[in-house]
Amino acid sequence: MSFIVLLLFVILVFVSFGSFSNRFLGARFMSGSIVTKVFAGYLIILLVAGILAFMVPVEDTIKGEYLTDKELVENDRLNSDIYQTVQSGKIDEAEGLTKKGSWDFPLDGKHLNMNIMAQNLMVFIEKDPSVEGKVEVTHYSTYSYIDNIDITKRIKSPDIELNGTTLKIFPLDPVNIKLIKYKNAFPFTQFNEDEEQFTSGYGLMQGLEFIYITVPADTEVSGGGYVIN
Amino acid sequence: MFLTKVSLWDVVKKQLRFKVKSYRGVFTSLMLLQIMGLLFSLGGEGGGGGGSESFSYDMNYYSGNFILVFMMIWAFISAIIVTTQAYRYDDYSFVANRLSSHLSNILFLGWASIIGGITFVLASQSLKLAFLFQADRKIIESQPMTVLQMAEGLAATILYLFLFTALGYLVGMLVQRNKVFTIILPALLFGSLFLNVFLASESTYVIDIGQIFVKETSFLLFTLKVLLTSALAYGIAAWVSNSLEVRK
Repeated sequence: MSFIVLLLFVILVFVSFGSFSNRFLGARFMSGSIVTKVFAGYLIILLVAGILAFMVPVEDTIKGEYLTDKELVENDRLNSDIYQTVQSGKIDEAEGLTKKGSWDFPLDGKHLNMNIMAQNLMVFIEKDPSVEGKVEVTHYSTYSYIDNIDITKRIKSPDIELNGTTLKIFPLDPVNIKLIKYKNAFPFTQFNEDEEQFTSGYGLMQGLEFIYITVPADTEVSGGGYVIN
Repeated sequence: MFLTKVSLWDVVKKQLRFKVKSYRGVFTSLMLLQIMGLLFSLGGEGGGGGGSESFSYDMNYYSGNFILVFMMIWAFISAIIVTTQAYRYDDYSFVANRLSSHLSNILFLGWASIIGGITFVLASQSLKLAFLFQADRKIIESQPMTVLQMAEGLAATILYLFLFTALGYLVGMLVQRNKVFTIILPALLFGSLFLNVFLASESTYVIDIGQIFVKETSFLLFTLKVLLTSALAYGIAAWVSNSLEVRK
């Protein structure tokens, strides 16, 4: 960034020297070979910068991978249905869930103490007869957007650890996303039907983050979390 | 009776060649205004933000629109300057008439619009490059563009610039015809803006007229509108200039 600004500044200074030559205030605009060279130099710089802008690979660059209104409506429907589905123990039937991480911890004894330090997480605990001697932890989330850009995968899983019989769920690392939205100038978007999709302000839609824990059927759970059965 | 018969097109070509070579300052001012537009664009067009306890975001919008506005000003002013006395006197170096002079001016301004359009595309890409090197940004979202959209965009930019040269040419000729237009035209422009504000209207006449072009979503219709308006503006300018005295 600073390099570009510096480059522009140098060009400006360079051109200013040329511009305020004695010819500038003459009867016509500037003329002469220096002016031609300066303009040719400017064209070359623009050409190189233009080509570079197309070629430079940049991590995290999204090339307009925005969702349509139809997709957003469908995702919103899935987001709103999911809480009921999970709460009723039918997580296998839930649609629109993103699995972000899973952990397996060996469990000694028949007691599990939950220590939930995370504020923005819901914790569901299912007692499953098919699970024996272990705790299965899975982090799921529903769709999240900034405007209509899917950022679901950018919210990472919390740290989870089992100390003895205490399962600790640490707070989620705060995520800050700085988004630069580069819009093409209006003559380039005027005849484009997708224009509204790009410029519409959808704001932030944060999905649900939840931890789904499966424990042996005879486990006694204390300390927090919603026990499904 | 003359020994050689020179066609109008030959004269126009000679005048155009002369103008392309000698009016280099048009392109220097284009460069200066583009750099100014680039610097203005770095400030962004707006933004927003939000978040929760564990999540926050801030968003900034950028585009090449500022550069384009500067380019339109450039096109308008360049055309006005071409109509000034000093520039019109250049045409007396040739065995020519007013028609050839106007035609060469129109072709020159068309040529300048093409150069302006191409450099604008490159300048707006350079702006994008500036953001690619921003260290603290996380995501850049840029609009995807197909080759057709790119071609239409470039052509539309050139047409917009050409339209502004036509308007500038008309304004320039009106002012050459009668200096009273230096007062009337700005008064009409700013007067309509202020009047609409005072009358609490939602829009202004100037903006409403602009919508004819800006809101057009068909490229063919847009091209037709611009070419017809430009032809009308150049035509009126040529008609106005007929009443100018020779070498006045």
